[in-house]
This record gives sequence, structure tokens and C-alpha cells, in this order.
Amino acid sequence: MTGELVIDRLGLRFGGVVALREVSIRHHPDEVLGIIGPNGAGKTSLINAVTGIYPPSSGSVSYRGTPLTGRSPESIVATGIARTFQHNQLCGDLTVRENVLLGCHPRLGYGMGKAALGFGPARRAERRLRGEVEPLLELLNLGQVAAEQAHSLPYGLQKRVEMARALALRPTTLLLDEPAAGTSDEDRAALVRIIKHLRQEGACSVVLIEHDVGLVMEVSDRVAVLDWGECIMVDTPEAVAADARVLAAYLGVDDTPRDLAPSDSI
Amino acid sequence: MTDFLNAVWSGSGFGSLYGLVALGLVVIFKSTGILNFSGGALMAVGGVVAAGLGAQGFWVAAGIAVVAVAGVGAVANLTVMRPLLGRGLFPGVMVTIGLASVIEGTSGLLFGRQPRFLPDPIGVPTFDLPFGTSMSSTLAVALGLSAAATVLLAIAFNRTSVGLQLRAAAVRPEVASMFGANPGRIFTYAWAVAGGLAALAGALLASLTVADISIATFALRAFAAMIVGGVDSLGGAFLGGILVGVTEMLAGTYLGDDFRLPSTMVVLMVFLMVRPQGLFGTPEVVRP
Amino acid sequence: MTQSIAPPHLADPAQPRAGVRRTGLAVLAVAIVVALPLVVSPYWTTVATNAVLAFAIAAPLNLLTGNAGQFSLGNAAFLVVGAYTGAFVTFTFDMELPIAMLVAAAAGALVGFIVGLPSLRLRGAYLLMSTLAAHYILVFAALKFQTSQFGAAGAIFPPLRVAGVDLSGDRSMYFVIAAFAALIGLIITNIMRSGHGRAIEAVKARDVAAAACGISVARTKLWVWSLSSAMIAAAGVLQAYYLGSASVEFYTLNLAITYVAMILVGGLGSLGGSLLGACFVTLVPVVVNHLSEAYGGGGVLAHPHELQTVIYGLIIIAFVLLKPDGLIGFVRSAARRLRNGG
Repeated sequence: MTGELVIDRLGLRFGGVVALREVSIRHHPDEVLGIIGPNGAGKTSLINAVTGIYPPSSGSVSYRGTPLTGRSPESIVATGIARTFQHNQLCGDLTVRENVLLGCHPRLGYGMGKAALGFGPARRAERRLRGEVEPLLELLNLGQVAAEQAHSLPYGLQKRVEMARALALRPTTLLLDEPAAGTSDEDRAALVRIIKHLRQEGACSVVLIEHDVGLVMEVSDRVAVLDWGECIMVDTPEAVAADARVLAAYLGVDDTPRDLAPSDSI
Repeated sequence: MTDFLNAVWSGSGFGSLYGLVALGLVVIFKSTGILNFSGGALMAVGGVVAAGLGAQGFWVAAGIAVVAVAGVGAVANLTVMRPLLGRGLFPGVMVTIGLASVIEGTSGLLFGRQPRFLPDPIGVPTFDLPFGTSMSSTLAVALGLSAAATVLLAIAFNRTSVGLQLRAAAVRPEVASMFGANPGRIFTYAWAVAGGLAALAGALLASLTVADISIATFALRAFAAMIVGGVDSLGGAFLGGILVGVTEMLAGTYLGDDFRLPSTMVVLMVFLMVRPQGLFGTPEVVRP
Repeated sequence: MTQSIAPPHLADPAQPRAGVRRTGLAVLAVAIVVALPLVVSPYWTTVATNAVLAFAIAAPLNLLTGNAGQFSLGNAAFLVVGAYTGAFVTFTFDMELPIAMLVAAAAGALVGFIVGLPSLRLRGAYLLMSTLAAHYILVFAALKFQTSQFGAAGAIFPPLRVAGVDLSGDRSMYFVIAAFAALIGLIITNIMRSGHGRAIEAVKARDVAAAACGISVARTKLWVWSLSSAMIAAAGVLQAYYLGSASVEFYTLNLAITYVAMILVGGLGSLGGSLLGACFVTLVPVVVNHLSEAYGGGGVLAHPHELQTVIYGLIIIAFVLLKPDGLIGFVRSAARRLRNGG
């Protein structure tokens, strides 16, 4: 069951720097929502605020009607939201399989005490989880490198490991932060395939942050545009592609009066 | 009242010695990012060298010790510290611990471990102060010297090109070198300064009590001084030293001598919990 | 902590041959440990006891510092917490050693939890400073406890007896300590091979990503602090029995640094490394003393203590600069060469 993620007038500031201003986005169940915007528009800040890494300065986030604002990152994960990171956040010393197993942590089912004793329950749980991650490794074409240390992999593969780790959490909403940045055409094609697969299965809805506007247009149901910390529009890919404000934001031609831009584009 | 004031006077004096060592810690931390655990050993060997030259009088002996230990600091940087740049906390701490051990053992081999003495810097043993209190003249000299060292260092850091290079190298060594700064040489200056300051503290301590290579733990209070003042503040190190020294002497006076070192550690812990950036330090900005 | 070497116990168990080889090595190690005191002189039995005891203290420290990335100088303080809790339980309630060790472990866990609390807010140099402060505060508390409970000389421990059996002889003491060390090794291996071991490594390497995997960074850190301190405190009881007494002067910052040196020399985050480092650092003074005697003690050898101090420092420096993955790094590259048939 995927759920509805509601971002309501979210604000985030660091000292005097405003990273997000009154951002409101409603992410529907089963939807792939693309978020685009120029560098520094606040895309990553938005994900960080939603997942509890930065406490928002104002506004609120809720998921399936449960408020997320003020909760710790690990408890937000428990509601069904998983994410990847723009900059590689793998544990390089661990193998690919172990990195993906990290995503199974909420389902370990045994505590540190039982782990220390090392008897049956812990060992059985480990065997079960290892069985669970195999299909994921296959889905993302990581079977060949499962026993390699994560830091030894090329960048594109590392991004895929990140995605496998997030999927191992069995999320109902997946937030992808620039999954295609710095990767090859082949990796990009794999990414499109995986997002479409997730969309078809209906297992989880996706929020996709990307610089590659073409990729976003290809897979998204709707696209939100951020500029200078504000959400200037949310609409279908076609409508966004045709909008003058989006062009202005990307080209830096600022002939659109800011106060005319709708900020409550729910 | 008399007890209290006497504790404050002697606390400021001893505290200024912690401040001298802490200044060296700050200079090194500020420029190289290394947390130096060899400050105590540098101080102790400075005291031993100065006391070995005690027949020359305090100032000559202390001067030679300062130059000699500054040399030890420079050599330490050139040999073992330089490869550590950018390797993080643990390697730096461990190498400076190893360095302290090498300095202590070498001093033991060269000079032995018998306690030595150093004459007072000025002839008068004590000054009389209001309310029937008094202060040791050596402690007064220590206070004056470390205040002077703080001011000189602050000027050097903020007003000279070497200081500018030091600050630049601390933030971005590769960028600093693009603009003609030589981080290697700059870091050698930092270590030499730290060695000289520690040796000065050691010489003063030798004239107050006794020179002994195994008193390196005395300088642990310098860590408290560094944190209390703020790890990147020179003036903070000096004032932090005074605050720690006064706390220590008050605890010694009113609670008992065995409370002296623990009281400084309690101050350290309180600052870490309540105000880790210290009195004058820059708070760490967390934004990836 | 920038070492990027995977601990061998995290190696992929999907390779069954590695598992067989590991079991073989473990059996061999046990055989050597059991046979040792039967074949060597009492002097070397004492040296071996020192090394095995050092391992039982270094290994939990390595779990905290090497695996969880929490650089701590608090281990000597945890030893004195254990020794004095053990002494108190033994003398006041007339308890046997296992009970005393359990109570000491509980006390160690509690104190470790408290000392670990700053790690939720501080990192790097600041966290290290908080453990330094904790060391002195705890040792001071131990001094006050010592004065009130045991007198100025500290706690004097009787010869070790368990269930009426005298275990105070050199060999039996060795076996008791070796059995305890094996238990410590087993617990740490089990944890690091479990999902919680992965979580510990993740908290060290990428705490933000760990939280994004639903791992509570705070809870994981506090668990490791408590567990590591509990094991060190329990070892503190054994150490005090072995030495015959516990006095505050013994538990110095330098003692704490010695165990950090062991895990550095042996290899951070590696159980085998803890063992190698414990043996190596224990052997240095022994070797220097032997050399000093063998060569008549001329020159620098006339001062073996000073020489030891210099060599100890040089070893620490050399390992950081030249062999940051420690002695276990040699073992690993040798094993790799063997596997590749070279």
C-alpha cells in the first residue's frame, strides 16, 4: 500500500540563508513525481527536511495522515519512506550484499543481546534476510558484484547499490536524490527500467530528484519545479516543459515577477 | 577572603602556564587540525633543559630551552607530523602520544631523572598584595610572559603574511599553496612556536617547583584551557588557562589538594556539554 | 579514523571454504593456548597470561574504537570501576568470582552508558576530550571509594578460589584468564557477524545513511559503549585478582593509552588484530629487558626503562605512518598471496 505524502508550506533556513520557502507539494499514491530545478534550488534540502535530517523551520510534512515533522530519521523510515543520497553514502568497507542487508535492519527481529550469544534466533534471522536481498540484487543487476567491497565499485554501480539498500527497507514511498548524476547511459537505462518496474508493480511511489530533465520527463507522472527555495509549479511533464517560468528559472532570465508565481501549487 | 584571594593569585599564575601550553595546542590545531598530546612532554623537557643550565641564571637558561625545544617541535613536524595531514583525529593523536613517549625516554637517557632546580626569574620571592595576600614573583612573571605571548601571537596571526598563510593553510592547504604559501614550512613554524611556548612554561614551572621529565600530566590541564577558551581562539587559550587555574586552586583551597586535577576535568566536561565551542571559539557549523 | 580495511569477521560467509578455514584456525588457536603453559617455563607462562589478559581488555576497546569509531581513553577508568565493584562484592557479600565479575560488568555497563552519552552530541576531538575528563573524574571517585572502603593501600585480593578450588597457581590463573578471553572473543565475533555488527560499522562510516536505514545511531552507540565497558570492567576484576591488589595509582592515563596502542599496532576493527597487538605490546619490554641482560647492560641498554619508553613511542609512530592497518594487515596480505597460489 503506497501512501500520500503531503508537504505543507515547508520552510527551512540555515542562519540567514533561506533554503526552502513555503513549499507545498502533494505526492499522490502510486505516482512518480519528478522534482527539477537549477543548482541550489533546494531539491536536496527538501528531501533532507522530509526525512528528518534537518528539522524544518516552519510548515509541516505528513505521510498517510501521520505528521512527520519533528520525528527522528529512523522513525520516519518506519512509516515507509526510504531514500537514496545525492553523494554516495555507502559503507565502503562492507560488501555490496552487506550494504543492501543494512536496509533490512528494521526487520532483524533480534536484539544486541541475542546477537552476542549467537544462538539460533540471530543465525536464523540472518539466513532469512540473506534470502530476502537476493531478488533485489538480481533486480538491480548486482548479483555479480555482491561479494565485492562497495568502495571498489564504479560510481554508477554504487548508485544502484544505494537504490537496492533503500528498496530493502520495503518502502511505500521512495525518494531518489539524483540517481543518474555522473552515471553512464547504461546505468541511466537501468534506472528508467527500475522506476517503471516499481510504477507497474504498484509497490511503491517514487519522488525523483534529477538534473537530467529528459529522464524526469520520461518517467514522471507529474513534475514539480523548484527555484530559489520556492516551488514555482507542479504539473504534467508536458505543461512544465511548455512553461515560460521554468525556462526562466533554468536560463536565469528573470522576467517573471516573483509574487505572481503560485507558491501554493497543491 | 585572604585564602580566596591567594588562591586566585596563584591560580592565575599557574593557569597562565596552562595557557602557554594551550596556546601551542591551539596554534597546531588551528593550522594542522592535529590534536597534540605531546604538549606536556615538550613542556617537561623544556624544564629539564633549562634546569640543566641553571647556573646561567633563569633568563639565559629559559631562552636556550625555548630555542632548543622549538627546534624539537620543528623537527617533529618535518619528520613524523607532516605525513599525517588530512588523515583525521586518531592518527594525529597517536603519533603525538608516541612523540611524547620518545621525548620522555630520550630526555631520561640524556639527562637522567633526578629532580633539578632553576633559580627565580627575579630576585624578590613574593609580592605583597592587598588584604594581606601575596603572590609568588615567578607566577607574576609567568602571567606577564604568557599575556605578552598571547598578544604577540595574535598580532602575528592576524597582521602578518605568515599568519595569513597559516590561517589559509588551515582551511584549504591546496588553495593556500596555489597562492604561493608553503604549508609545509608554515606548519613547521606552528610546531616550533608550540615547542617554544611549552618550553617557556616548563622553565617557569622548574623555577616554581622542580624540573622533572615525568610531570607531563601537569599539562593535561592545557586541554581543559583549550576547550574552555575555544579550540580556535588564541586569547581564549590564555583566559581559559587562567579560569582553569583559578578553579583548580579554589578547589584545592576549599575542598582539599586531591580535588585539584579532578576539578579542572569537571570544568572541561561542563564546557563540553554546555558550550563545546568554548568562551571565544567559533561554533561548528553543521551543513553538508 | 580513515583506515578502510574490512574486518575479516565481516567477510562474506557465502564462501563456505572461508568458514571451514576459520573454524580450523580457531581449533588451532585453542590447541596452542591450552598446550602453551604445559610446554613453556613459568616465566613465559606469566608473559602469556599478561598477553591474554591484555587481549581481553584490548578487544572490547577495539569494538568501541575500531568498529564503532568511538575513540576513547576511558578504558583504564572502566578497569578500576570493575576492580573496585568486584572487590566490594567479594569482600562485603563474600561472593565467588563469577558473581563478582557479573556485578562488575553491570556496573561497567552503567558507567559506560553514562560516559557514552556525550558521544550523542560530540564527535572527534571533543568526544576524545570528554573521555579524558571522564577518566580523571572516575579515577578520582575510585580514589575516594578506595579510601573509605579499603584504606590508603587499595584493595588486597585473596588467592583466587572458585567453588572451593584453589586457582591461584600460575597455570590455573592462566587458564581462567584464557577462558575469559575466549568468551570475550566469542561475544565480539558473534556481534560483528550479526546484523548489529553491520549497523555498528554503518554508524561509524555513514551515520546519516545508517539512520536512513532505520538504525538508531544513538541506541547503537550507547549499546556499544555499555557492552564494551561491561567487558572491560569484568576483565578488571580478573586483572585485580591476578595482580593480587588494586590501587588507584595503577589506573593511569598511560595504562589507558597502552591498550589503545595495542589495537593500533594489531589493527583497528579486527579481533585478530587485538590479539596480535596485545601480544606485541606485551612482549616489547620483555625483549628489551632480555637484550639488556644479554649484552651486559652497556650504553643505552643500561637504562632499559628509558629505552622501553623510546621504543614504545617509536613503535606507535611507525605503525601509524607505515602500517596503518596494523599487524593483521601482514596476515591478510599473506593469506591473500596463499589463496592466489603465489
